[in-house]
Amino acid sequence: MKYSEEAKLLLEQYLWELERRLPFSRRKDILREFKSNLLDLLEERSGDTQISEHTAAEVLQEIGSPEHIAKQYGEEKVLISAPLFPIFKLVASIVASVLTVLFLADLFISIGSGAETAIFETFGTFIGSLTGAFGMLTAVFYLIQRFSPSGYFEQDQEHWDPEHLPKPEYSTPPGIAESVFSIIFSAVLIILLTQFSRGLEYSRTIGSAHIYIPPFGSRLIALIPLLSARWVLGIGFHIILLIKRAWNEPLRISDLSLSFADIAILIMFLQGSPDAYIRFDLMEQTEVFGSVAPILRWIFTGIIILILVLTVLDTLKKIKRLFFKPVSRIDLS
Amino acid sequence: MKHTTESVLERLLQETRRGNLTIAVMSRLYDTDHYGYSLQKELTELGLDINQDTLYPLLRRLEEQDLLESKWIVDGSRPRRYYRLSAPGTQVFEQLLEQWNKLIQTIRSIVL
Repeated sequence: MKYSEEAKLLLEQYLWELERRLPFSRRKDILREFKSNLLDLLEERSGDTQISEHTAAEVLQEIGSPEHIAKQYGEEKVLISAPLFPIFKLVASIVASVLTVLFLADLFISIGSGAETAIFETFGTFIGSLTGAFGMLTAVFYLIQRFSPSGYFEQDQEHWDPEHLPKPEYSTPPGIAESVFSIIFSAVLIILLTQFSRGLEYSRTIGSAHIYIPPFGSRLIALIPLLSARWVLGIGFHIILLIKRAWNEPLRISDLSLSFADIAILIMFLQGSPDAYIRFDLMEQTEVFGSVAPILRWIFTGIIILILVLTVLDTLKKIKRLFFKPVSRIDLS
Repeated sequence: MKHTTESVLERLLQETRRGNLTIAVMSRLYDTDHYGYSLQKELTELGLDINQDTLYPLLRRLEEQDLLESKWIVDGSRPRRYYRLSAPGTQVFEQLLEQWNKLIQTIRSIVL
């Protein structure tokens, strides 16, 4: 049948959004029937002409949003429903940022104090706090959802717009939660690395002598201005994105440029020995870290390689989305 | 929340329609097979404007209650799910129709 590529993409996205909200046990069957009826309606509406994105959007607007349709079939029961989830994600990202800030500050204090157990305790406290905070947050959102008036958080069906359906095949901007998290996290890293990195050292006993070990190597300290510049640019990018809420070409190219900067920085981290970034060589001489320092050295290199591979893959995807139009895979027969 | 006359009327009409929709749908499936869209069109042509978001889930619910039976048939360009009243559905419909007629008569005698 005669569907424009844009119409097919819109229908594919609508059906995907509907499918993931339908009750799991009957999902495939309901979707198959819904799709068959939807295509009948579309084909009758268009007559012999090609079904355009405009016609498809018009019909989908009349039918109602995927959330609304799924609800009529008895939506899958979830702890936090789709309308509340973006707010939950935003609050969760702010909570995670604040906890990370506190964790990093606590970690620096622990390292500075020289108490070896304090470092492990800090990690334990951080994981405990994260788990507790997310559990509490989920419970609070569940209660809000449970006791709010029926339909309070639901979308107004008359004003829902198929144009606002997320399009994963196209390039999509980072969400508000991601931007907020990125800004807070980058700011904290800049402050910690620029203000505290040089003064940071911890005392360890080697034999009968007490020595002070700086955790960061000379190469990392030399890279701090470059890292800070990258994070400042990232903060600027996310602030513009939050203000404009647009995803135009200049912003997409800026995003791509930041990814290239990340790749360049990660490659720099692979130059030279890991000891030039983190003083594993000095750690090796201490009683506490002596046996684990070689493993930590491998973990450090492994993490850098893993992040590099993921960043390269993500960048390739961004390039593809910038230059190539998405292709629909939906079967409309 | 303040209720306007229009919103109250709208809600009452919806409630009145909801119960009658089941009878209308069952009546069209009494001796004819229909798939969702064809049934919607027929009901609209007969003057009962019903949306997909109401009709399709209603068909599902009636089938889950064993009042309807369905089968997929490749008809024309694509497979379609055809519904018709099941044997228990036919029995229920006949009794329901009888009760509904009595109710209408009673309501008429009260209202008029």
